[in-house]
Amino acid sequence: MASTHRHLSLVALTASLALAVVVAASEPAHAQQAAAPPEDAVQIPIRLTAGSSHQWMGTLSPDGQALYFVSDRNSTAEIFVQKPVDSGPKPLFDQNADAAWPTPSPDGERLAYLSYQSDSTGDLCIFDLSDKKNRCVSDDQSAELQPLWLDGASRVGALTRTALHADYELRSYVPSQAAPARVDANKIRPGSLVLKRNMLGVAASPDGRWLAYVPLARPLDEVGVSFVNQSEGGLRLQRLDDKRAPADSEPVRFVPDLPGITEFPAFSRDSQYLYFAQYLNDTNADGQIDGNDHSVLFRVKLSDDAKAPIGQQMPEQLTSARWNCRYPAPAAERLIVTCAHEGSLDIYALPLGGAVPQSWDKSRLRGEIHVARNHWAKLLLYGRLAAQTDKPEERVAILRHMLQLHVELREYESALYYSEQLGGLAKDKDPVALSWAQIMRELAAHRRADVLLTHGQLSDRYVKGERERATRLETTLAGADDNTRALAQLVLSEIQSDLGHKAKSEDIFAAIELDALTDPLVLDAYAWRARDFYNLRGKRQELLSVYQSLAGHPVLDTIDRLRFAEMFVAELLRGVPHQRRDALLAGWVEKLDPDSELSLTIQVAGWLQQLKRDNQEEVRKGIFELYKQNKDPDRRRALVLATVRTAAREGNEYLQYQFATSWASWLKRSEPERKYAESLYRQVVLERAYTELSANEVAKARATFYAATVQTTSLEAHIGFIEASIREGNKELEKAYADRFSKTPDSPEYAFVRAYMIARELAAIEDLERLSKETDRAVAYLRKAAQVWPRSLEIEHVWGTVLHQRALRTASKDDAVGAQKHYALALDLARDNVRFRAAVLRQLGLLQASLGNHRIALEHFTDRDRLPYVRPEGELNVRMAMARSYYQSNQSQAAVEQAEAAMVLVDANVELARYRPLVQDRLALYLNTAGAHAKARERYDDLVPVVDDAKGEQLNAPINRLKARLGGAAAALGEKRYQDALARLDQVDALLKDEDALRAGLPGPKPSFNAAEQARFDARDYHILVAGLRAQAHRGLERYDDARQAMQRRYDLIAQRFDDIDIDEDLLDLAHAQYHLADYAYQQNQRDQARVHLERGIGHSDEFNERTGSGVNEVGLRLLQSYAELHLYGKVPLASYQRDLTGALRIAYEFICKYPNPDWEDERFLFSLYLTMLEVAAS
Amino acid sequence: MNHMNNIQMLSRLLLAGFACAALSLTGCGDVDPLGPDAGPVDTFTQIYQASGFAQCGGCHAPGAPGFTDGTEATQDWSSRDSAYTSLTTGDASGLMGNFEDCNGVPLIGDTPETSLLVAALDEDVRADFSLANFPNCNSDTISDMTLKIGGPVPTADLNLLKQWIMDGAPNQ
Repeated sequence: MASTHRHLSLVALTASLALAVVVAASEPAHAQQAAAPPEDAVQIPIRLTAGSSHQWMGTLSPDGQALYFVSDRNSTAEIFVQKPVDSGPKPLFDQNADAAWPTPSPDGERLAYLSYQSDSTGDLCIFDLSDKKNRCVSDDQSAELQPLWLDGASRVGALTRTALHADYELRSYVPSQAAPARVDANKIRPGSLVLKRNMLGVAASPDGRWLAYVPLARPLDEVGVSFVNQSEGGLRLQRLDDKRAPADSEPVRFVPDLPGITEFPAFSRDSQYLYFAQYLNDTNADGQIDGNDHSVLFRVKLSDDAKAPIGQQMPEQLTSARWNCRYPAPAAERLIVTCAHEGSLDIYALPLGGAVPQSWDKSRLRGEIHVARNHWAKLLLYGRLAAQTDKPEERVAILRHMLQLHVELREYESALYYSEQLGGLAKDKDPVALSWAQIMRELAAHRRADVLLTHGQLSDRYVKGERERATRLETTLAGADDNTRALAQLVLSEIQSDLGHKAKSEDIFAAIELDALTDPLVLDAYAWRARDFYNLRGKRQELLSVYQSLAGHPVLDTIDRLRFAEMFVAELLRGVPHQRRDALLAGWVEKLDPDSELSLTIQVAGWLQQLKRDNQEEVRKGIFELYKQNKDPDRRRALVLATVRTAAREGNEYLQYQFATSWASWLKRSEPERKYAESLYRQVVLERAYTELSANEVAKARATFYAATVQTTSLEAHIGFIEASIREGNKELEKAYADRFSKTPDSPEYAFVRAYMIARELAAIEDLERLSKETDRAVAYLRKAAQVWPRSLEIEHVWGTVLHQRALRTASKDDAVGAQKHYALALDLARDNVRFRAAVLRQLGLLQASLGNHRIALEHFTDRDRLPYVRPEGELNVRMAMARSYYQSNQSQAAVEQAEAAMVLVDANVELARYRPLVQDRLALYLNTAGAHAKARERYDDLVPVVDDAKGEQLNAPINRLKARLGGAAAALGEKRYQDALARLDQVDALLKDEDALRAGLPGPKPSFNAAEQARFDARDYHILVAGLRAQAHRGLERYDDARQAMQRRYDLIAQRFDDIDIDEDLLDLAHAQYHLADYAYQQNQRDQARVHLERGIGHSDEFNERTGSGVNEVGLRLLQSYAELHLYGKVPLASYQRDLTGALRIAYEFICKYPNPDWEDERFLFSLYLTMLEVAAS
Repeated sequence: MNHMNNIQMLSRLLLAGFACAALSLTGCGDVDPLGPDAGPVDTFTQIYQASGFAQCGGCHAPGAPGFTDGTEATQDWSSRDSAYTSLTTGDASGLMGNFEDCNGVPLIGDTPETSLLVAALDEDVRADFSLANFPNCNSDTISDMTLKIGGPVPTADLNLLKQWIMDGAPNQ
């Protein structure tokens, strides 16, 4: 039944695809987005690759024009190239096998790599980049682990082993010499030995002097290093230009002065620097530091000293641990790295000197640290500052901060390391700093022990160790200064608490005198402990008292006092009803020094508490007075950020814009804070535009979007401007853009704009040839824009949209595949853009649904559904699409749930009222399919008068009146209300008489990826439907003659249609009709007539199988079963059978056994039984 | 006002020459709408055509696509002459919220240091901006226009504007 029903064409709920871009642009993002942290103080790595797959081992060609990398986008790990670097990726060659380590030769002529095509353990192969030929130089007797170039491009090397437990060796080969096709194990191995050593991550310096590697230990003779992979620590540097053989000279040992494990050495092109990756901490908290933890890139400078090329220098940190970068590949002008960031592995580029600009001096670094938004950025900056600082007292201060930051980040290995460093530096010079370092070491060790406890360490060992730690700490209390004693007490309090000694822990904590403390870091530690301590005990007043003290503490910086002031306000207001907050805050203002940071913070909070749409000007004035009174940058920053944050939460773009503009305008460009302020301003402007658009303030939105197009090269802003202008009725938009770009007609922005304008017109183009040309034109513009912005979310989104549009109209699978590819890229690029992510997910869902992949579509729709909806129309759109895909996936109940949710939306939102008939119709359909026939019929009964009464509207078209009644008839049939069904079908027949009127409301032929869908549905189709339903109703009433008559009519009409349009599926319908005719004949005891119908049906089924290459089909199986039963139970003699029953049964049985579809379980049993019965009877 | 001595004329020509050289990459050399035989381009036309001021008309003009509530409304950059007239005879208007205290302030002023237009484009001028008649129009209440055009105005363009003001904002 479900397959014979069609949806109402009442209203076009599903907007055109071009409009989908608009919907994306018109939905404001979460309010929180505007308050999202701006970019880091340091340079963010520039992403060079994109896509839902992973990309790694990136490296540039020597001329910098091509990027080679490994990607798993085609399931296998293949080598891809982007040439130019910013273009799209292409497979370098097609081997249909895994490959790794693309390594261009220094002359750029060849690419060495590892191939796993003919040797699963890896072969060293060379790809000639000019003649595009591959050759492998190692044989299949060895496992190659990593390639590298030696002596310029004259030799290629490979780290290799000959057996599973064998030691590693470095061999070199002549690149032009291919390995013998088959190697006798006794013959000499190809290549020559360079160095026999257990090592990994080999890298040769371009000047030919050094080979760097990670030394591997071999703890057991019988177990090869492949199985252990245990680093001996640090790196080794082996001279390659020594006259002696490398094996005869001792390597230089280099263990960076850093915690953790070293990997991935790489030399700069000028051989002046050695880069490497360091796993500093157990970032995944699995109890060990290994390759699964976040890695950080460093470099050291190499000197000419052959014995100590690195010396005692402190490694220069290049990346933040947050970015988790490895595989450093220094090129001529930039550093190529692979970073695992935000859930995807991709290739990025950084300056050779890393994320912190080399030009930043100590003053600038201190300024950047002051305004840095996260601990990782601060650590990176402190690291650079430490490298520039020689004075011990300054270094002590820096190391103290680094240690504290690592503890707060739970990076305990680094904390322990820096406590050692600090201890060493402070020893004999600064006993206070030394004590501080020792106590912090105990804290880090204690917290690490806590982590280990959760990974299986025995608790008695933990208890013993922590008791000893407590004893050690207690010894530091006597004679210590106030700060040292307090820090020790804080750590002791924590340890005692963790050991279960709550009372002791409380006593220790209570003994600390906050007023006596003068060390900001100890005060910070006190605040964290107080928060944990008092929160756990519900002692709010005590916690407030601590925050109040800290918010006014004279030794703290303004920025820290403000931080505690904000914590005070947050705690003060937590759980307090909104109406009581004003009075509460006002009461506190009365009590406080009006010049204090706490007073300022409370006053700002007081104003923001009152913020509503109708008093925004009053609130602005109040806050702006405070702004003008407070000239201190930290105070202003706190005021502005609090205001913008609250305004964003309240959806108040006016306040956001006012204060983001004031703040950025007041800061000079040289101020470190300025870049954050500009970033905030840009976010606010775009959000302001979206908010205005969603509030239907179209002119304002248009102007704000325009401003954003001027302020930035934001393509998203162009989309917004275009949409808002069109909503305003601007017909001169193309001319306006042509004027704007008259001096720069080749601008990529303009190319994008033109593509977008074409994209949004595609849906209205009727002529397919023109549609195709316009699509090509849009793609050409997009291609042009993509050359400048290869990783543009907007470009990929529009690109996907135009191809999707053409795919829908022409059923081009190539376009559908192309659309899918661009949508997938857009989705990957939209990680941080909820607005676009939502739009792309929806379109991916629609694309997959149009391809018939409803289960995949549902995955996309479900992901979309997890994101917020801003406009009910957007939600309705997704709900209906989900319902349809559930229905098509035979999950009718889920379809009903979505359609019911859609109905709730429609009823709750006046602006959606026009969609109610459509939703009602779909809901009725899904209810009927889910077996809720009565509910379905009630829905249809509600719908009929709505459709009938909509005089003059499209809704009232005869086709819609017909469909509502047809649906009702189907539901009544489901309820076995046969007379009722027949009465409804009479009404349908009456409507069907006026074919001209009906035809006027029928949609034209619709292209589809499914040929059957494409061809069907005109007035005849409705006659076929009605005839089928009528036959079923008569059958239910046991009026077999009427049923036969109706079914025969159905059969004749289908046959007529088959003759006209020759669709395979009609053969199945014909077979099905014969099945029913056989049933009616059988019920009337006309068994031979039943046989005739069954044979005719089987004939149609066989023809279908033959034409489509199918083994069996569902109708055919049912016909065969009946054919057998007619003989076995109906006693119709085989002699009268015109078909070979046994042969046909056997063929079908063998097929359904060969392909064990669970749906055929019954047939497998029955056919086996019937075959046996037939054989018994025959014998 | 329009009477200039030889030194002023010389300095203006020199400045104009340097500015044009600096702007050659941004199209200064090919923007003379009157053609190659039109003779030397006057200073205000140079300002009007300079890349640093090319975006002004997008917001500050009647019916401009970027005009909205809070946009300074006196300036009219729709043509060279309307720009000149609105700048030299008008006072700021239409500013809202945190910036409303600068409504009524002359756009050009007597010197670059007292010019609201310059203050909106030059952070040093903005930082010290002070007018006796408008004490509340200052660094707190002047919006940085370079935020809104995506970056600083080229130094040469800014210098040209300042020199033009120093020269008495002549219509030539």
